[in-house]
Amino acid sequence: MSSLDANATLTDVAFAVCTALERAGERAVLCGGSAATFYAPEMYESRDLDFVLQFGARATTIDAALHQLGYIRAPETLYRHPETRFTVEFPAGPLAIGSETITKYATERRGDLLLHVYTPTDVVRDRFMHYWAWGDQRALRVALDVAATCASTIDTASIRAWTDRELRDAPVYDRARRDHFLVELELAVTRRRLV
Amino acid sequence: MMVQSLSRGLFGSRARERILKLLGLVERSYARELAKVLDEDLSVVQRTVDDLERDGVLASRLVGRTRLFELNRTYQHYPPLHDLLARMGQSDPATVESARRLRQRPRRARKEL
Repeated sequence: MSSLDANATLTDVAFAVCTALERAGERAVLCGGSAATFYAPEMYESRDLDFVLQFGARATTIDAALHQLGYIRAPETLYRHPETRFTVEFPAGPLAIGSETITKYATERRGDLLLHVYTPTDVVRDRFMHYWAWGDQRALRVALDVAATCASTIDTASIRAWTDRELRDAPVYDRARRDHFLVELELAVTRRRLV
Repeated sequence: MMVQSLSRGLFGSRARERILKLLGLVERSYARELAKVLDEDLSVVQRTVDDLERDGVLASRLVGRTRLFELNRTYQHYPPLHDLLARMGQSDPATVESARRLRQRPRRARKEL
């Protein structure tokens, strides 16, 4: 497997890392802001790739797989590369958005490389969750940008139903933020579909 | 005579349980403050909050040069965990007293910490 250089994009790194891990027997799914960059690179640039590993992944296997690409483990679970500016991290699993465990994700292919990544709808939900929980306006903007970029595939009905479930089961999140987001989401998706 | 419990509690360590219960009551704090009000060793508190953050249970943000910790609101089990910790804290007089001391620490007007 070829190593990465300074010209590699986030998407290049994502394919390389996911494929190296898959070949080492470890399933990893790209999530967080890096998944947003994968779908909307013109709108949002992340420099940190977040992969969630399946439960039971072995650190030695991860180290070896990433080392082939030139990545070295820094303190904790952060990996750095001497040439590319993109870091790789493995947040604690399982894959979840709000209280919902994520079991389905997209698998993209590029030649003999592959990438497991949140679906566009789940990227929108994930970024919105950061706005919902913390009031992070930047995360809201990213959610709406991904929704506009991937308008044809965004399932707004399922997003609305999920927020209803979250509010019903654990009413700790702000209803007004949810309502504001759903209005903006419909506008973002509808505008793009009309173009 | 007071007998120190050897139980590691629900969360695997005495320090971890005390910190979580306190954060269930006071929302946010920083390692040095937690160590002071809980009378725990700072290095133990620092290691514990770092571990909890790595596990996704706590989140932190920098305010000036101080790292504030709180329960991670995007953690999958945040709502029930917050509820559980608040109940555990409220039923433990020592945690209630620690929370009271923490809330009464002087703060300059409009200072966020």
